[in-house]
Amino acid sequence: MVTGSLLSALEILFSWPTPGWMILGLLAGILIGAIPGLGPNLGLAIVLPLTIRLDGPDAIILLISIYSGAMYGGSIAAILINTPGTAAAAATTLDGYPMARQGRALDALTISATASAVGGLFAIVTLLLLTPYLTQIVLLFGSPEYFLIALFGIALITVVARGSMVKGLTAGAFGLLLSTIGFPVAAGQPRYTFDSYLLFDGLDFVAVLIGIFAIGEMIKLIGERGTIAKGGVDMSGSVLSGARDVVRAPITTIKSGYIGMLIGAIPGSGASISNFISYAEAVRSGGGEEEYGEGNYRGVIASEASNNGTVAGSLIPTFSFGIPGSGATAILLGGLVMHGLNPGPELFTTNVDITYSVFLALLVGNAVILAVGLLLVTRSAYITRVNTTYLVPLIIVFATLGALGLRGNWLDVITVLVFGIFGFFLMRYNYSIIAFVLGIILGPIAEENLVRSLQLSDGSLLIFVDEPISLVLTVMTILIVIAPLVRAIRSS
Amino acid sequence: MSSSIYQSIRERATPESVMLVLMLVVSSYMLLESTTFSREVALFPRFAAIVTICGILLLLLQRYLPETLQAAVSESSTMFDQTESVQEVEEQARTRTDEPGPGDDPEHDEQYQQLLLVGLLAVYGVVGYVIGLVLATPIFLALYVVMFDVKRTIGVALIVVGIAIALAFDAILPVNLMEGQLW
Repeated sequence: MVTGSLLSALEILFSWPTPGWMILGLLAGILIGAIPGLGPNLGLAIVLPLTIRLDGPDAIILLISIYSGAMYGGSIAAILINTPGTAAAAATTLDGYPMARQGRALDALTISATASAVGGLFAIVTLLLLTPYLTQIVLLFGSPEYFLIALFGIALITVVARGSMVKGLTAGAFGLLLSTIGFPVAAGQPRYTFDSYLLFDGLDFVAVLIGIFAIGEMIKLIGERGTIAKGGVDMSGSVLSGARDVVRAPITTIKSGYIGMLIGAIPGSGASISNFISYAEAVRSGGGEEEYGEGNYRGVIASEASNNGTVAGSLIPTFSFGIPGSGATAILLGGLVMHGLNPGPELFTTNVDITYSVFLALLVGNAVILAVGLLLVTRSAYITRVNTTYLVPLIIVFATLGALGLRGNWLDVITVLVFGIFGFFLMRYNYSIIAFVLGIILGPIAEENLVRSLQLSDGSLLIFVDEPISLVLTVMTILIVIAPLVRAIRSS
Repeated sequence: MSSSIYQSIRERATPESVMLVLMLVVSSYMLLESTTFSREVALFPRFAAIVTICGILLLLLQRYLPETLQAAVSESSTMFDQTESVQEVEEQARTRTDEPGPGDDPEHDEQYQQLLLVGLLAVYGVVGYVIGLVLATPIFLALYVVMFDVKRTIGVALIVVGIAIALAFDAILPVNLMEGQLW
C-alpha cells in the first residue's frame, strides 16, 4: 500500500506543471528569505490567495517549496551582512559572518546550501518512513482526544513561545473567542453577527493570517527604512572548499537535521529555536578544541542543517492533527483547508498520495536548493541591497487584493487591515502571535469536538479522562500550564 | 486633583494598555452576548471569553498584584534557554548600520512612519470599497510615494508595477476587483 501511494505521489510530483510550481516556489522562497524583514510567513501569506486557481497538490507543493526555500534563503543575508533574513538563520550569523569577514563568504554560503540540503534530506526520509506509523496513531484519536489535543496545542505554544505565559494564554484565548463569530459548526444559531450576512461565515482565518503576517510585518518594517546592506559585499572564498567542509562533518550535519526535525515537531517552537539548540549542541560536542563564534564552519552547518530539518518536523503536527508548529505552517494549514484537504486521518488514508507528494517535493526541493545554492551563490549579494521601503507598498497591495480574492467578501479586506494593525501591536508588546493564530485556527475544531464529546457522554466531563490517550493529554495539558507558574512563584 | 488624575491616566495609557482595554471591551461584550444563546452554542465562547478576560485583567492590574503573582504574570516561561540568544540576535538584526544624526529621534521617527502607514492603509481600504481596489491601488501607491519621499522614477515604477499586480489579480482571482460601491 505504501509503495502504491509513493508511486502515485511521484506521479503527482512529476506531472507538469507541478515541478514548475515547485521550482518557482523554491526560488521565490530563497529570494523572500534572503531579504531581512520578509521571511517565509510573509511569502506564504501573500501567495496563498493566488493559489485559489491551482489544484490542491500544486498549491500545497508551491507553498511548501516557498517555506523550504525561505529557510535556506535566510542564511544569505546572515552570512554576508550579519543580519539574518529569517529568525531561523539567526545562529548562522555567529560563525557565518566571521567566515565572510575572513574572506570565506563563498565557503560559508556553500556550507549553508549543502548543510541545508543534507540536513533536510535526512529529516524528510525519516518523515517518509514514519508516515505509516503516524497514520495508525492519528486513527486512534476520537472527538475527546481531538478537543484535548487542540487545548494541548494552545497550552504548549504559550509555554514554548517567548515571553510571559499569561500574555500567550490571553492571546490564544482571544483567538479562540474570535473564532466563535458566525454560525457554529455544532448548531444553527448565529453568533455576534449583528444580523449582517457578511459575518455569517465568521472571520476567515486565512485573512487573519495575511493581516498579521503581511500587513503587521510591513507596519513594523516601515519604521526601519532603507537598504539593509549599506556598502559593497565581498564575495571571496571557494565553493569547493565549502562543500568539502560539510563532507568533513557528517555527524554534525545529520545530528543537526534531526534536532531540527524533533524541535519542529513541537508546536510553537520552530526554526527560530532549533537553530540555536543545534548550534549549542555542536559547541557542546565540539570538545572545545575549535573556536565557535569566530568563523567555525561547524557552527554554520549546525544552524543551517537544523532549520531545514525543522520544516519536515513541523509537518508532523500540522498534517496529523491540524496543529501548526509555526506561523508558516499555520498558513500552510490555511492552504490545505482552502483546497479541501483536511488535516487528520483523511490526509493519511484517502489523500495519502498527496501527503507523500508534499514530502517528496521537500525531498526534491532540497536537491534544488543545493543546485541553486552552488550555482547562483555568487550573485546573492545583490539581494541584500534591496530597499525595503520599495517593497512595503507592493506587499500591502498583494495582501489587500489577495484578501478580497479569498471569498469576494469585503469583511476579509477589513479583517486583513484591522488584524494587520492588531498583529503589529501584539508583536511589539511580545504577545505570542502563534498562540493567537492557533486560537483562531483551532477554535472551530476544539468547539466541534467539545460539543460532540459532551453529546456522547450526556454532558459528563469524565469522557476527557476515561481513555488512556485522553487521560494522558489532560494530565499533560494541566502540567504544562501549571509548571511554569509554580516555577515562577518558587523562584520569586 | 483633576490634573493629577489626567496625568496618571496619561502615564498609564500606553498603546499596550489601550490594546488590552479594547480586547477587554470586545471579550466582555462577547461574554454578555453569550447569555442570549442556547446552552450548547454559548458554552465555548463563554469559556474563551472568561479565560481572555481573566488574562487581560491580570495583565492590566499586574502592578497591583502581590509580588509572587506579579512575577508569575510577567516572567518568561520559555522551555528553551536559547531564546535569550534568539532575542539578542533578532534585536541585532533590527539595528541598522547607519547611525542616527545629531538631533534625530529614531524611535519617534519610526512611530511617525508607522502611524502614517496605518493612516494610508485606512485610506486604501475606504477608497477601495468606494471605487474598487484596482482603481484604488494607484491612488494608494501615489500617496505612499509622496508621503514617504520615494524617488520620482522609482515612484512611477512602483505605481506601474502596482497597476500590473492589480490587473493580474483581477484576471487570476474569481472576484471582480474593478467593482466598487459607486459602480
